[in-house]
Amino acid sequence: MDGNHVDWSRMPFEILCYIFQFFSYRDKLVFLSVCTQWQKAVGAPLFWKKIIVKIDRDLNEPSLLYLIQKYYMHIEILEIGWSVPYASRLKYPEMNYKEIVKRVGRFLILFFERRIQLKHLVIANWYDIYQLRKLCYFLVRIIRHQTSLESITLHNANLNEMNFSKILVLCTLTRHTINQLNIHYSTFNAKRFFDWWVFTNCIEMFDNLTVLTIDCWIFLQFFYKLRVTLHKLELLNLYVANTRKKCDGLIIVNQTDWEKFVICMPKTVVTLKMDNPMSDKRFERILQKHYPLVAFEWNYLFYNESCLKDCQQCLERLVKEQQNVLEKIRLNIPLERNQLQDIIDWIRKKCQKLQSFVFNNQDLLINETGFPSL
Amino acid sequence: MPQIKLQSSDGEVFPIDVEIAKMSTTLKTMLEDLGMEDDDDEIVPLPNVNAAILRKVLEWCTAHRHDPPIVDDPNILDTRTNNITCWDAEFLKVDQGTLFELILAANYLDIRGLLDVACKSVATLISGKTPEDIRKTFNIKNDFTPEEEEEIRKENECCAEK
Repeated sequence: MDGNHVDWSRMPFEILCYIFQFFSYRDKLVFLSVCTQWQKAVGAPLFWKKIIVKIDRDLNEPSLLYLIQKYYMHIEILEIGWSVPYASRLKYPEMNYKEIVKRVGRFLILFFERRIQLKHLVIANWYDIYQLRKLCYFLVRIIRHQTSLESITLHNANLNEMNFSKILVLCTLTRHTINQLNIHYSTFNAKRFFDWWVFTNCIEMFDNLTVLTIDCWIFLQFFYKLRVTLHKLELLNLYVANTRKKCDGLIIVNQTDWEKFVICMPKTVVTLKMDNPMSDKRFERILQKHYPLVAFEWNYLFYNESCLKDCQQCLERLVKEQQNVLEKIRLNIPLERNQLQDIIDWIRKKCQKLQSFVFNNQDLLINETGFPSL
Repeated sequence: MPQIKLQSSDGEVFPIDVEIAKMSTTLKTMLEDLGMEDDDDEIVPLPNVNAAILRKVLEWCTAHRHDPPIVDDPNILDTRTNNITCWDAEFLKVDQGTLFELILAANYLDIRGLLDVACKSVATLISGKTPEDIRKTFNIKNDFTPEEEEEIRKENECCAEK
């Protein structure tokens, strides 16, 4: 092996393809003219099966548009959105909304011009503000042309109520093939404008749905009341929203209503995912012992003073209500393990069905049985 | 802690903890298939990896043995974030030849984490360069015929105009 003189054309084709996924579309366009092997690697179908488009980063120059025209036939999964999680950061002084709308429009038009059939569509970090609202029109047109979608994900999509309902209604056109719907943090202004009538009716039309992800408040507010029935649903993921606003009006559902849960969704198990700390009282409203909670995920972002107390109380309540069904617990909390040691031990004793307990990325159950057992 | 012995292509033997060996999916599957026992003194030959590279690989594995396993999350997976930790950046300050061999070894041993950081560091090496620069950096021969090259040039021009 000689220092800096290695023959990179010796690099096996698969690895070359693997390396290329770390590059921007602009770089890939350049690679097309390096040598025939690199050209082939850029065009590898596997590469184009899933494309992730961050509007601000990938559509500020035209290389993606060019590449798509060349390799569109391989695309099965499209993820589109911005690279920033909050709309306030979109206010770049130099940003020209008109230009952006034009370019994203041109990109999305390609999808229905070429009749690209997607299997999975992901819309993440999408903002329906200012002139960007028009972009939704193109999304709607893409969805209308789909016949074999398997999953749709709207994550932090911030759609306004009209656009949100429109998308949902159009998704029902391909409802027989869709088996997974993930919709969370996606309605524009939360409750006030939320069109629950359209929402619940649409959801019920997806007759092959096995996985459903929605905001917790939507579930608690409407699903039991309207007896939303999903016979094939196996997994229901509930997200507890980040902002206080969306959570405030949670009501405790009375027992007779809850007993219908098993009838409306007979095969379903529930996962609860929380992103923020909360007081015992609010937690109590979310947690109901009448649906079987098998997994619980808690991702704290920031430390605050009441963190330890809240955690202890909430975990205690969690175990009290759900100890007979709980299988997985995952906590990412800005606390040391020994601060919560008592309650961790207690949980492990109480929950007979517990299979995994991950605390800050460390699986407590594996570590203490003495891995590896060779 | 149980150990196993790895032998590099040039004959050097490395005794390592099983826990570390298991970071390589290739070795892990092998150990499970063979059902290694404690007092086994068998040596695992690795004909594709030389001593210098194997030492480097093991150094990385030792430093990263407590990492959580990489899970493919279909919901949020964007490979283009170039977040290399300080330690890894320092670790990968090597000549191109070593980097090349490291990628091959990581691929052969199937150590996903190492493969990813090595690939990312290649990405920082060549992103933003022209085809001519890339060919020079990596000693790649331009094997396009003049006609093909003309065609690519034209296509690129169309693209630039858009």
